[in-house]
Amino acid sequence: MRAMISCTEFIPAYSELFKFIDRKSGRQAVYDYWRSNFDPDRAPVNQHLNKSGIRGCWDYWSHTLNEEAADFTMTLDEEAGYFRIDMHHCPSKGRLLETKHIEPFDEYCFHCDLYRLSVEKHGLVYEYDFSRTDKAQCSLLIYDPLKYQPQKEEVL
Amino acid sequence: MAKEVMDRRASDNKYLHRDFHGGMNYGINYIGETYGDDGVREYLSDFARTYHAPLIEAVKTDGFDAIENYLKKIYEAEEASDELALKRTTNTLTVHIRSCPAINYLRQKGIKPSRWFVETTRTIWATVAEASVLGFELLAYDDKSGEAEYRFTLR
Repeated sequence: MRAMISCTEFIPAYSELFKFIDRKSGRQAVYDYWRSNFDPDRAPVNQHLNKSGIRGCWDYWSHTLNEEAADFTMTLDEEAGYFRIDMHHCPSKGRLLETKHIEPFDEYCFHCDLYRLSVEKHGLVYEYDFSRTDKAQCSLLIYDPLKYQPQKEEVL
Repeated sequence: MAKEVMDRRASDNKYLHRDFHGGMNYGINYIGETYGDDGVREYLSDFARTYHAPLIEAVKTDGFDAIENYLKKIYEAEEASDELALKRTTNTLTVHIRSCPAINYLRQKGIKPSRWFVETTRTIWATVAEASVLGFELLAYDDKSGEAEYRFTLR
């Protein structure tokens, strides 16, 4: 039998999967799952980074964020050596917050931090601001430390 | 090269990110390898009872109509309405999936479907049916095409 959970319902299934692992094996097991899932050997963003350097971030997130109908501003300055995403409304966290009959996994957004496994492998710095995830907002800055020095408050 | 900026509102695009089928396949496989068959069924039945609570209530009130409406909505969202065929009698609702959008996507990407992927239908619908006092039975399946048939019955 082959059928499905629709890709439009993946996010609540993902959040519930984190909760299931947490109940069964504890929080570290959730982190281990994330690490496995975001392993650079299988991460599409790593393939884009291999191919195009920091522009690979633009290529990867252009595809995913448009398909996810996100509300965002994305900036790439290859000459200056940085890439950033300002997520005005995350479609994933937004859906979890709007689905009133389920409680999101309390660290749901933190799985996005695991993109750093691929990014740092390429000598880039990965900084994430998770301080506004209760509003389905976040910011991400990726930069080449040999070219770019962000202001301390830049990501916030 | 000059700075490039992409600015998008949610309304600019349709919400259809098929890569999530790969994420679901990976997650189910991870649960299966870590917690076994029972773990997969436990996760999916927990998910069904929680996420599908409104659907379960709707089935209790509206019967087969609620299941039909849900399936039509999901397959329309997947741009796969033609893959879904529904047949009603007084006491049964039979669902025929001609080809599964998730399996089609996985195969197109060269991803092997997890051997536990079947449970995303079997366990979820069995749980919804049980909670809304319907019977549920898998009638047929085909691993390669994703063709499937299942039936709900009034108890």
